[in-house]
Amino acid sequence: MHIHRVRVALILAVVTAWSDAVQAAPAQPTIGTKEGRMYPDFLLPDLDGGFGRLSDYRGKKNLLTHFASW
Amino acid sequence: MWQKVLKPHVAAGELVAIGVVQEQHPDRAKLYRQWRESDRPIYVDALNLLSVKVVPVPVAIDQAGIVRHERITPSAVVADFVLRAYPSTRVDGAMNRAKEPSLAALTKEVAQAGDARSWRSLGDASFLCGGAEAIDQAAGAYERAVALDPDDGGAQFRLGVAFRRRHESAARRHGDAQASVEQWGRVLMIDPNQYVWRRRIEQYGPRLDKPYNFYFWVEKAREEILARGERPVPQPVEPTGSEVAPPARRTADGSSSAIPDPAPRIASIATPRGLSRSNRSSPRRAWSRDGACAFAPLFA
Repeated sequence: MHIHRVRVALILAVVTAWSDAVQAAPAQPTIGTKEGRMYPDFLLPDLDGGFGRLSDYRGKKNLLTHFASW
Repeated sequence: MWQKVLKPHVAAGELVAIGVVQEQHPDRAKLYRQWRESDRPIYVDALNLLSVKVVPVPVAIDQAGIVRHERITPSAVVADFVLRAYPSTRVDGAMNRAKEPSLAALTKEVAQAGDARSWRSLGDASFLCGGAEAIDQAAGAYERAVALDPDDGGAQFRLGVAFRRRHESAARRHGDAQASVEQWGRVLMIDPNQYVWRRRIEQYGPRLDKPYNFYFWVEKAREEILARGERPVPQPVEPTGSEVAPPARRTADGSSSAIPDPAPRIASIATPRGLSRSNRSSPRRAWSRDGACAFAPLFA
């Protein structure tokens, strides 16, 4: 009987922890270029022989301008 | 306008201005950056991997990477974006992080799957590696991609870019220049309204199709750079022929169409003068020549 109670308590604890984790996890934003979505990351060459990602600038606001030199 | 508006906020670290330039020749973008004394990170998307349909497009992205304005204006950027607080969004660090392409893995993939998408990806990775051998690989991969999926305008466009790049390299093959123009012509059949694709064929195609002199600014830039006592960024491939010629088409009053469309076509993303090099925040990645780009020829 005692063992049965311990088992039930353990199962409840696991279920509760799992439920809390699910509730605490924020929904991840959808990737896209529309307002409210997470702008798709890219890996492109820079002008100095290296490469860079947009995601390297996360943590600060970005003004990303697509432009042309023609 | 942008420069004046953004200067104090960039200097205060409230904002990072990033440019992605649509340009067949990266050295021209480099000259443009020097001319404008820009200190911003600028990335080159010669292949239009980001599928940009029109320029300029200034996108306001918050600190978590969320798009807040798909196209913001200079008059609105401070009040509606820079000074606005956005809720912090916890984002999984691995989520939405561009992966470094592996030529070895992509080569294996085309051997196994052999579909248009994998060939196109191999073409992209090969093109970005640079070098004469890589441009052959890129063109060959794109040719396989478009043979499998002729309706893929992106692959068709990239094949034209690769032909033109090869034409201007030591690996040049007879007919590359014409092949690039023909290729971009096919692209326009797929989407006549794709502005970036259209402009590329207008740069290198028949003069009659040119709306304006695309590289009018190059000589002016050199003069002003020299006047500052600097050496202009060398141009291995000078703008020539249809790239700098005035359009042959005349308007009803006999004048050429000197006003480009849409205006302005060059976004003012130049860095405020006086901003020190220490403020640069252009992260570097090692993905380039000597690591993942070492691969065995596929089309020997």
